Amino acid sequence: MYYEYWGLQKPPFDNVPDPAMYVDCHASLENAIAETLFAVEEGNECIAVILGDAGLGKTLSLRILIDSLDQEKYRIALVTNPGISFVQLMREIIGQLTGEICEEGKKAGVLEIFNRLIFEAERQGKKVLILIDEANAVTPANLESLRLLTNMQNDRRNLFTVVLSGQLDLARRLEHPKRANLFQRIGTYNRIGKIPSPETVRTYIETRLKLAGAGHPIFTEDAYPVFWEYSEQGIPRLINKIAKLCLKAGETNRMERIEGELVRQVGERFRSIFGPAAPKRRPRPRVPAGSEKVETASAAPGEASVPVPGGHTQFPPFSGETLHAETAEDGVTEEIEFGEIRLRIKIPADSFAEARSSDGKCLKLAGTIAVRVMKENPDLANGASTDPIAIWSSIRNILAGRLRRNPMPPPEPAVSAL
Amino acid sequence: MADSERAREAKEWFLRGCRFESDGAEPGLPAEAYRRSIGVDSDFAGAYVNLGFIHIRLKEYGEALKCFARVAELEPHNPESFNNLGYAYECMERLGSARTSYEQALRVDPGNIEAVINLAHIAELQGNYHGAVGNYRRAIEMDPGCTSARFCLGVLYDRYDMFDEAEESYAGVLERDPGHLKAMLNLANIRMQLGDDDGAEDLLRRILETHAAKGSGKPSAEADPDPLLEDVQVNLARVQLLRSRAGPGGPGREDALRRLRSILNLNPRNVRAGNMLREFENYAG
Repeated sequence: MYYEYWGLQKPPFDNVPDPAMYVDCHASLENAIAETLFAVEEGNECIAVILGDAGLGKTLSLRILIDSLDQEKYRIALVTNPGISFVQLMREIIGQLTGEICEEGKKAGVLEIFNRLIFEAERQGKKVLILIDEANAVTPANLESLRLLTNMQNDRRNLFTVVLSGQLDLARRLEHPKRANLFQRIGTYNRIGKIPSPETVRTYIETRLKLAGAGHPIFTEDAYPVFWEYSEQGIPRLINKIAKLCLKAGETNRMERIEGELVRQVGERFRSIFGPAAPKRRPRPRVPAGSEKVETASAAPGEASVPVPGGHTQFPPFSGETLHAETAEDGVTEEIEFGEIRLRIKIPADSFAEARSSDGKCLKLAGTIAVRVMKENPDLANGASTDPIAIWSSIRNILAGRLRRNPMPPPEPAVSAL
Repeated sequence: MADSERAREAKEWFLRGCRFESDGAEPGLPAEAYRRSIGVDSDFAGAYVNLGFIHIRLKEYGEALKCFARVAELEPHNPESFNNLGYAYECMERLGSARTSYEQALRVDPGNIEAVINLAHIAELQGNYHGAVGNYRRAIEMDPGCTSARFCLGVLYDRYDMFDEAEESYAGVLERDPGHLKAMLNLANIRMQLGDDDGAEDLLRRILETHAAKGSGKPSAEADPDPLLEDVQVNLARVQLLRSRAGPGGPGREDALRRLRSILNLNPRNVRAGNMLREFENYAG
């Protein structure tokens, strides 16, 4: 591994939550975590606030907070997208605290359930903790409702704490004179900032290297100002990324130290690189074919269709073997055996070209032709136990396979009249 | 109406709805067909599912939720019912409820990989890196051939700059599905960041060839305005830029300029291409 080349025991610049690596490295992050933890565990505070621009570690601090708490003593809800109505927000919180879906539709109803929950938690010796990430998306009306929520405490102690974490917009809202009542209930108020100077960037990098087991400096003096420049003046995540790429490049090139020029080259490299192409979420409508399934369960084109729900009857095997095919200028006509029925299916010439544009288009065309085939062959679905959807699906799959695999062969050359 | 007749009629409406969808009709048409199917047979789960997805497409999440909740009542032993229900909650940004639904899918069928992937996705959305990694790995263990879990894991690693792990995951995807364009693109991005320009360029050209082989025409920016291909072209230009900076000008720089201008001709709003073109020009100046 690259870090072993540098005499380290672990990777020093991974951007994943690791409580062992944040200590002493990024003072404002460290303070935010420590103070919020105190507010939850010891301080008996109603509300704790963590502020910071995007990418500075707010979500990371919430994760470290959760991981640092004794899970036996807390019931925790983490809301990451609070720009929803108050009832929805409370349903989400209640759902997470109970592990059951809450469908109560009225505000009074959700408040009553929540009230019951926090007292029940107290009886069990637990405290409720509500973490709201991206709290800058909470509407002003919901902020007021959250304030009212904090009235639900007993006389001796707070039964729950709300941690609001958000970008600087949130500060403006909380500090507005109209919300003085809410502001008074805030126990801790922390801002996570960038690493403030090239000197502190140096301390940050050296501390992380030491925590990973470094016995000697790895970066030369001229590297730190370059880190500062390419990390947008001290964004820890970017520093980590550049430093990690430098260590890997240094290992590849068998370097003894890493100089500013390499840091610059690495910084240049990922300046305009975008994030990874993300997977597409694929919900599964019950179209009568098996082709819309997630990759893990997808049926190969031409494979017999999956049964539709409701335990429908099986249909005769559809081999898809072409018994005979004729090619003409306007398309291909295939003869295919289906049980005892022989189908003549005409695939128009332009369908082959159209089907090649995308898989979706191909399936759509195949589906349309399959509908036509079923209309032209009403006997296909006449049996009492036959399922027309499954038959349609099967024909569609076979046709899709044809369209995908076999571009239309060129027609026979015209024979000269001579 | 006799039960069998009702079932047949409901199925016919369902089939008609499917056909409308397959033909690309306006969502109102298939939705109406599914509603009629449900009107004839209020227990026809398939119609609720498809109607639910139409509501999702129209961003009518509350309506979608009702449809999927009904399916969960009708088919409480089908994990898909709870995966769909969870998906509706996810769209409503109720991640806790989505997680509960996916957990239910897994209780119904402990081998349901889709539910495990969905749980990983929820963990990812909640910033729970380790939880997400754990679930994706679990899905891969359940089915080592599952490329979707491997790819999702690769993207997660990639987002957290875990380059080695991401490379390994993408390579695993490509081993099983050599035509996986996004895995190739992401792998090329990593190679580029690691300074392996040749490796990156090979992959980027492979994407264009694979895409062309699938039947989309010739492999050039002019041929296809697909956003993924635009990314490929921009990255190819980037590799050429880096090369031309490293050595004497050569044809790479001119190719890159042509490539970027082509992208911008097709899509003037491509910010990366625009920025890069300016960067090239500044560099030349």
